[in-house]
Amino acid sequence: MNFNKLKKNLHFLTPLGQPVLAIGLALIVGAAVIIATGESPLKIYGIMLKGAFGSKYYLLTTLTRATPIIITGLGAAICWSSNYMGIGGEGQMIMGGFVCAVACVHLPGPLWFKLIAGVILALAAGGAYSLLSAWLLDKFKMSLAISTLMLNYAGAYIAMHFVQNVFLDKSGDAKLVQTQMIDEAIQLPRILSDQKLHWGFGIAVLAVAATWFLMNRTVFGYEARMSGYNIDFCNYGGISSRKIMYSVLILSGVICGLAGVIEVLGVNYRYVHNTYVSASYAWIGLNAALISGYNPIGILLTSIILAGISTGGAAIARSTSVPLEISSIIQGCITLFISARIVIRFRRGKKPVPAPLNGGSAGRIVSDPEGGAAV
Amino acid sequence: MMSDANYLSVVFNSTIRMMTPILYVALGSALCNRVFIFNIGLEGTMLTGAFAAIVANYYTGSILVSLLAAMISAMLVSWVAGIFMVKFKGAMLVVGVSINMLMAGLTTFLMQTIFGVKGAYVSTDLVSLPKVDVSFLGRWPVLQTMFSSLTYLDLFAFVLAILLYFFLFKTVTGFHMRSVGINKTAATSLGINADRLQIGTIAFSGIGACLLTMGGVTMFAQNITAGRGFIAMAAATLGAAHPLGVVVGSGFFGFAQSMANMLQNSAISSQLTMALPYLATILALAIYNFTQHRR
Repeated sequence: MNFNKLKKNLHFLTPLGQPVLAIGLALIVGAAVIIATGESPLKIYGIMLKGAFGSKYYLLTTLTRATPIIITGLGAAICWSSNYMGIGGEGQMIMGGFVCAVACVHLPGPLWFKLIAGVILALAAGGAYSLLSAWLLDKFKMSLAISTLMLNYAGAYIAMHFVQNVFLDKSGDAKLVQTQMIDEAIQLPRILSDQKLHWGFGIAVLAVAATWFLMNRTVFGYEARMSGYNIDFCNYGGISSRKIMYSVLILSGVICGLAGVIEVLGVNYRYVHNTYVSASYAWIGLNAALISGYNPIGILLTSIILAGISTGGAAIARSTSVPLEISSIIQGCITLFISARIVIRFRRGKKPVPAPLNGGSAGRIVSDPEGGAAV
Repeated sequence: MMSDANYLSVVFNSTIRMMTPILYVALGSALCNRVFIFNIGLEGTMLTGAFAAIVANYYTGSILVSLLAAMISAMLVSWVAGIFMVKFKGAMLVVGVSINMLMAGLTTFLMQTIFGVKGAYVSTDLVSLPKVDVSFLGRWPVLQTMFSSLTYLDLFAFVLAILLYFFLFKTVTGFHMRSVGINKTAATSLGINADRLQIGTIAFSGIGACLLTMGGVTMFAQNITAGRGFIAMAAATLGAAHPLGVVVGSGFFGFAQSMANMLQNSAISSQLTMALPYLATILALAIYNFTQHRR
């Protein structure tokens, strides 16, 4: 069969080609690591697949785990697609979760007021935390990557300080650094009464739709994307890139704050120190955004796959000698291989195209629309 | 209660011990900055070096082999990161984030398979780095405290910074490196192999990692670097990627961390003092950038 013809026929699959290739390569690396432990990769991957999607219970557990990943993924996509590469999702999520948990217990007034005020305050906290790094970028030209990273660590310790010294739940097991449980009436209801999955997943799906609409069907989304492609063109065309910068970063902080809110209202019913960090929700969310090329619907699917790798990893750690961390090895490899996507497209071209030189990358440079952004 | 001079000398001593692991990595990061590589994967690189050192230590009990293992493994990881950044034109942040996640997973994974423990592997059977003997300073107790229980690697960090300064500013290769950073296209047209320089830029982060695992208590813990790789990046930025400036930058973070440790025994909340180095980073960078833009 003519290769070119085949290539033409399969053209519509090209956006999927790269993620599938990357996942395949990552699974090969994972297999090598598994072989090193003396287990059979096929058997382990089988257990993993079953532990992630194999039964109603496992599938719903995976979806529960995917919920914060989807939401933080959306948060990351909104700022990364405009070329503002913040990695502060974790800190913003902590702020959202912490503020929500505290407000829902300690605010005065009826329960409905606690809930509404708690959610609003939490989203504002996430947004404000992101605003801080936006302000540092604007006023002091501080690298967004560094400021958001530092704020992640600082946020975790500051929240821990307040939980430990002010809002500590002394009723239960004293060893856990956690706040008091919120009232049952304002907890997010479960979708199926006997399963973990809560309506936070529904909210996440709604957020996907809303983000898609925002990015693809509104003026703001257009301007934000244009600012990502070419900031000079944007400024020349009368779009204030400064305004865009503030808007996308605040919005992304609010969304990451929402992830914390959902975790508090739907899963833990309180803020527990270190839960978001140890599960690395925000980092996996960022990975989901990168793998799917900032496409909200892609993020939904990718997050479920990545969450499946995590729950599957937990399943193999329970039943075999292979440690849980196999999942972060595979997840790390997927994004690593995704990052190399540009070269594959270059290789496909008929003529050898000279690779662009990434000169002057300390500032911002125009990113390739498809091929991930450059720093 | 300690006397003031004694207290200061303890702070000085702990600052040195806190800053040198950062300094090694920051020097590597500074060289990356010189060739316009923003390597956020240094955190993962450092973690790898720390782990390789402990594994080599466990099997051979030799300091030299452990050091070599740490350096080689760190170089290997940086090389992979470099290939993805430079040859495959991967976005640097993406590659860095992936490397960090991959290495955090891999080191914990291997710790569990090799040592059969979860969380942390601590053993007194492992050899630790030899300490500099300061008993000849016995006549001056303050000086003795200032330089007590430092390893030779701690002192070498400062020597290395000076050596790198001469390398960058007084040798042809150093000139080439700087020229790649200033204008890669022009440097490439002169036949300077920019890619190879970029890939071969980091090896010191491994030594810094050794200090973490073998400097005091010989141990490896899950995520033992705890953001030091990121702090080192900030220190390199703060030092304007100049080797001697990086010493000052790292010293600042070492001081903030040692203050966080010292204040843990006081009435101030230990969680807040733990947040101090990270907030200090932001503050210092803000002040630094502010003065730069004023000029």
